[in-house]
Amino acid sequence: MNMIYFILIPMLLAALAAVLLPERRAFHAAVIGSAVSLGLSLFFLFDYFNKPFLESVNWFVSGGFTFSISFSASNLTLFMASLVSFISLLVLVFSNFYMKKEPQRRYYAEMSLFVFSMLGLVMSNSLLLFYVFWELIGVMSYLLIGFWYQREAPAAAGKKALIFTRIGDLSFFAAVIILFSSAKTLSITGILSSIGSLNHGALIASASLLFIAIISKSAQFPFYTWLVDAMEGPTPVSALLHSATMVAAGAYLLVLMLPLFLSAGFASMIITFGFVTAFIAALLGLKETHLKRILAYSTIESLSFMFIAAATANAGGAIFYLFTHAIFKSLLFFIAGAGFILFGSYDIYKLKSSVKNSGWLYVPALIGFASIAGLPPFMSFFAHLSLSANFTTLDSVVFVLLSFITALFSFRAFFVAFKKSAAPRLKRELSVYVPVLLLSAIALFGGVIMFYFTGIIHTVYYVDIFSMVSMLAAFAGAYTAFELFLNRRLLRQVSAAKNAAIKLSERSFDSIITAFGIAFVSFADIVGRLDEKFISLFSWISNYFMSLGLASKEIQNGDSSTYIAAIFLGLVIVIIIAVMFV
Amino acid sequence: MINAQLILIVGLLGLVLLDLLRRYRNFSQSVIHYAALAVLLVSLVSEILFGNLNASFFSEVQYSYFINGFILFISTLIYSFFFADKKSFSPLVDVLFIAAVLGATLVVLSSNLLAVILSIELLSLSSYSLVYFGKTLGTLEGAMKYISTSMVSFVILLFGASLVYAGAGTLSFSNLSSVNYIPFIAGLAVIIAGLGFKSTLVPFHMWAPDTYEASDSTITAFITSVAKAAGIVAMIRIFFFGFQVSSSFVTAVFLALALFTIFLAGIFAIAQDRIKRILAFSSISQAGFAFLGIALLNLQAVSSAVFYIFSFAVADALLFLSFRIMEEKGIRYKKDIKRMFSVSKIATIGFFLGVLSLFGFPPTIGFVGKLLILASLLSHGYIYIVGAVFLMLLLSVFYYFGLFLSLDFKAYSQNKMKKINSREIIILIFCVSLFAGIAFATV
Amino acid sequence: MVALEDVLFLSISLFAIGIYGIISKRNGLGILVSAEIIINASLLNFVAASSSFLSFSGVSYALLVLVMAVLEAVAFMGLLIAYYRKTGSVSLSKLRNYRG
Repeated sequence: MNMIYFILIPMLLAALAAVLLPERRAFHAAVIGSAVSLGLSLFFLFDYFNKPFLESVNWFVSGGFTFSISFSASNLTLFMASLVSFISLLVLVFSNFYMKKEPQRRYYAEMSLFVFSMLGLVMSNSLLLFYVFWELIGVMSYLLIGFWYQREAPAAAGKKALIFTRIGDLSFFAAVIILFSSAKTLSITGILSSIGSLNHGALIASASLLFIAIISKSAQFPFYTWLVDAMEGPTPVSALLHSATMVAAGAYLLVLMLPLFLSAGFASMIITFGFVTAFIAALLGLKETHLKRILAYSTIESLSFMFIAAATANAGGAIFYLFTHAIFKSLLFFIAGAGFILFGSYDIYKLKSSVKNSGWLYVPALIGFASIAGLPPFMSFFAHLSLSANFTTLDSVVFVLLSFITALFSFRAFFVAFKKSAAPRLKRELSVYVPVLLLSAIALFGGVIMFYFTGIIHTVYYVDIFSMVSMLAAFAGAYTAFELFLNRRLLRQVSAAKNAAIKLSERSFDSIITAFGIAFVSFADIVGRLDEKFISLFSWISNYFMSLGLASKEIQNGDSSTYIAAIFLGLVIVIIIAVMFV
Repeated sequence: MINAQLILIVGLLGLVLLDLLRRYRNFSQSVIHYAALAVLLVSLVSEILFGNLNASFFSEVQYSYFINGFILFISTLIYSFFFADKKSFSPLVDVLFIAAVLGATLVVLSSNLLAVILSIELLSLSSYSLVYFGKTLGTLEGAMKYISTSMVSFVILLFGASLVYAGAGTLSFSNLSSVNYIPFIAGLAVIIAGLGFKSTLVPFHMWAPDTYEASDSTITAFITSVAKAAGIVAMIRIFFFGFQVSSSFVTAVFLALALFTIFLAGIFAIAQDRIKRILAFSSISQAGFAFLGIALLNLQAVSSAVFYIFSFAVADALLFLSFRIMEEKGIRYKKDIKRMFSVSKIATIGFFLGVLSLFGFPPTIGFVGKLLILASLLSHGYIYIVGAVFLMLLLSVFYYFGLFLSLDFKAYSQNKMKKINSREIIILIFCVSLFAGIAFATV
Repeated sequence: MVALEDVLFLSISLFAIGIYGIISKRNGLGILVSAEIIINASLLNFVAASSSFLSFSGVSYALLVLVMAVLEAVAFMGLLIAYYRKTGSVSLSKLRNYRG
């Protein structure tokens, strides 16, 4: 046996160690654990490259079925395990800086348990085991978001996250059961190979239920609000869970079960949902002023890119983009966190007005935000090329528009919050320097990896007219942001329509572009209001059930004769049913 | 032949004699309590080693080892908790408790309709007095509601049994066949009404919230795990091993009642304010799940129902026992949940784990149980019912989350560690069995 | 020899009378007495069926049921007396502390 589950064990031990050891050692336990996991996963990746194998252990037997714990080690799963442990290592190192004044034990224990569950999730081959880890990462996310539970906002955000993802979890459970009873097996490879023999109803039902599960976990429309509120948690948590790993679990499941979705004919629906989510996220991000929430919206948008890529039968593009996104999004969260500790705020306008210069953070921030926009020569440009490889013409056109808006909102954040300067302000703090600089380097130079990525999962890239146009659109968006937000501030105070009219009448090229920008900003207002209405829908549903419950309390009135009468009522019901069916 | 029931009977009579002796020789009451605990332990051991009674009215079936084993296991733990909780109480309680356990184990073994009635009666009579343990007006109210509704269902059950006898000429399970159809079916319908009471099917459940809330939480733990399990097993015994009536009406009745139970108990639980009542309603809805499994009337479905009974019995016992520790510090309402962790860490964790298991969170046995039942339902094609059940599971989010989202765990690094008392050790044992119980899924 | 169907008719009407009694009475003693009526109805069934099938098992079942009924009635009376001592009334509707 090849003991692949050894990759998981260090993090489990680290969690135990974090609880049992004295407070200052918890950090070391977690970092050592993730370093060991990283080492093991890289070792397995190189040792077993192109030699996939499965490993399983019997869990229990019931009613003739054997439930087993099985892990699969293929290029993809080992790569994901390495990615997860790498990002976790950097996040844990960064946490040393960010969480210095917080209770250590609980934090590192919860983080280690999360990494353990995430590693288990990417490596599991049994759908049931996948579901167990899926639930576990949901619980860990709830605990970590609500880390400062004494305050109102984080506690409420944690509950919201749990409830929204709960809907997805139940759908996942239902899908597991349907697949189990139709395909008679729980292993992912088994299910995928028996897709042809599933009956049509089961196929559609399980695909739709899994779709609900992945859009709730990956915060797509209509389940996206929990992710934005989840930013109440500590920034390292946002970096790990809500950009690189947990929300990517939905995209990962999509890639794993892609044959199921494609043969159920869901491709166009996933693409539609993806584009809708991307637009909503980008427009809402345009209106936000809190830096982490802007990053959350950009995460939602990036996830929708992964979904769209996967749905166009381009799993390689999706995974490569997942990899790239993990790198640059955690980079951005680190920068945001460092900015918070140094400068005291996340509000981009406050940062603008109170900070003289952003110090050494300027260049990494430029790299990060340019990566959101997909500008060359950064890694994400290549990722965009790869993502859009299988796009139809219509998809590409929409994507061009999206590139413009994406660049617009990301550079808005950049230009407003970060200022150029020469003098560094930070005292030597390795736990911030190393992760940020390392990630910046990868985001800068890592584009070449795309050419070698085919080894891990079949990746294509396609340079055509549309990719050039979307690159130009991204540059245009950046320029528009420069115009609107750096040179001409106080956009919010100018009437949008008047500006647009003035610009159009000037008829110069850059003013048309600027007019586009303003139009989108006002459109974002409308979307923002719709968003609020949407949130109130959920509370309406829960109010409805609460009043139903209150009304039913009258039935249980404490009088024994009512209870006895109910017994006879039940007797009558049973007799009626008996008469009906015999 | 030594078997568990014989030991329980002999132990019961021996305890009575021992109590008589106590009045002459003047030793303390605790001796009797320890003796009762010993009787329960010995019967648990002999259950595992030697097996069950095989006499005229009683015979073993495939799962009787498993069910009797866990009934005795849970009862021993509940009794030791009771003993650790109230240091001195009348030895009558021991006798009643052992009699109740005896009744519960006999139900599992019955092979005659009258034996089922006899054993249920033994269980019920003892539990009426156990509910009235505290002798306060509150527990009296619970006991009165329990006995008045139980009496009504008992007489209905008797009448149904007499109709079956009039229709078929025999009450023994091995000889029953569907002769003289009409009184037979009428009798079956009436029996469902009679036994549905014990297993808290809607609409026969109305005594349960009040009685569970009124009685002492330890006794509630007993009623909600062992007595409810006995009621459901009585149904299984009658409808699966007894009358080989695979007519669609039994399936229809059970499915309808099960869906009502899960849904209505869920609705009732949403707006509740007192924790104990929420726990009571959630326990009522668990019984509905077990009936979903029984409705299909084949071996795979019934064995998953049996496993599910085990899982919810353990979880409910755990919940109510943990709540007992909280109760005496005055935690009654939902808003008091914040204080739970400061009362007792272990009991809070036990409470949390119990709720997770009832909710179906992996990897607890509650999850495995739900998985098995839903899988067996689906493999027989009842897809709409499974869909309805999923919607109800979504509904249960409301009340379960209301419970444990208010829980919060203060930082682990609390310097003063109170000594773990023996009650908490018992809770720990339950927690472990929530996970380890999967080993028993080979039913 | 009375036909089984006639006895069944009698016992079912006794059952109905008992049900009516249980539902309409508010005090505990009334419920007890009506329940006894139903128990007697079932005893009647057992005995008549046993004579119609010419086997004695029905009679023995009837005796067992009789004993159980007595025990149940004793338990009920005991609790009822405790209730009467505490509250001075036998009406079950007065118990309304636990509701909702």
